[in-house]
Amino acid sequence: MGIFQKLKAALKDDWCSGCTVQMDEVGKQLYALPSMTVGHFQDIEDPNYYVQNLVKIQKKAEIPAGVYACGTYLYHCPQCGKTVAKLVVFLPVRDQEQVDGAHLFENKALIGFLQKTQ
Amino acid sequence: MEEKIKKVNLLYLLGYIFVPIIICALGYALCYFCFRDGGTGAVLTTMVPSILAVVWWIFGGSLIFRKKTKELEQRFNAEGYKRNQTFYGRGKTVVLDIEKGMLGICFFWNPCQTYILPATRVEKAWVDDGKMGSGFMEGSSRVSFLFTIDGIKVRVDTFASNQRFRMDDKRILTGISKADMMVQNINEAKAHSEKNSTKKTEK
Repeated sequence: MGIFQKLKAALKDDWCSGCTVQMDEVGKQLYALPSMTVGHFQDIEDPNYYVQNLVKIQKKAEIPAGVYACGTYLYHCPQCGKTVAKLVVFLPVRDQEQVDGAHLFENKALIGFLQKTQ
Repeated sequence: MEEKIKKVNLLYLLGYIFVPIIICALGYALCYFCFRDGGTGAVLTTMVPSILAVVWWIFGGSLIFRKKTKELEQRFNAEGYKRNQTFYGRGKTVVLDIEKGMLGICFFWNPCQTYILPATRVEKAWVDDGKMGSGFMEGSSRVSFLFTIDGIKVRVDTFASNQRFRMDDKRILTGISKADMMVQNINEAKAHSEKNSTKKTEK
């Protein structure tokens, strides 16, 4: 196995760390995080928090001013079958995005919630 | 006749600046006439008022403003309004009850009077991102939200600095977001207030 593949697996979120292959993006959805407003950002690493607080939306314009948003991506490894959820928490400001946190989760409850609300 | 808001109480402003100066001057005069040879009396009449004056100028205003802000919040709650949004700006505090359409405001230079008004009195609310310069010099050093009540413009800073930052800087974006949120809430409160007042007139 090439060193570059190992490096990519270590550095890139959409690469499986075990099989060192690129995972398939199987889902992508935008959510609002009404529990988090501007000036009150907390980098929460508990997946249950996101299960309880994410509100599905269709487009960024639906998010009220000052409310955080969360972009979610679901990746599936074609070799080992592992599914990973990537959450990017950002503050939408007019036509820009201020990214404040990103997390990778393998939590089944969160992945199940995201798959159900896709 | 509805009471017009007053951003600055001139008497308070002048008193804040000049009362300590007058007390210091009296202390110096007392020292000159009574303690010309120095000693404890001279120290007490010159040093103590001077130090107290500096402490007053640095902390006095903020302490009074903070106390009056708390009083405004308590009054707001006591009158049966819910604080959906409170913004502690530099020199101004804005409190909003969005559902009942009420707005509370307290000014640094007029702490003796706090105002709780229906949001219908807000004529206009907007955001000033302070954008200036062009090309690589483009940026901002102040972001604020503004609104006019009875023709009087009130500016509340959400970000202020002595440096200019790029428009995509985190501090500027946070300031714009806060200002956008406040303007949206003020407009929402105004809409609710108008709806409530039409309901009352229909009855």
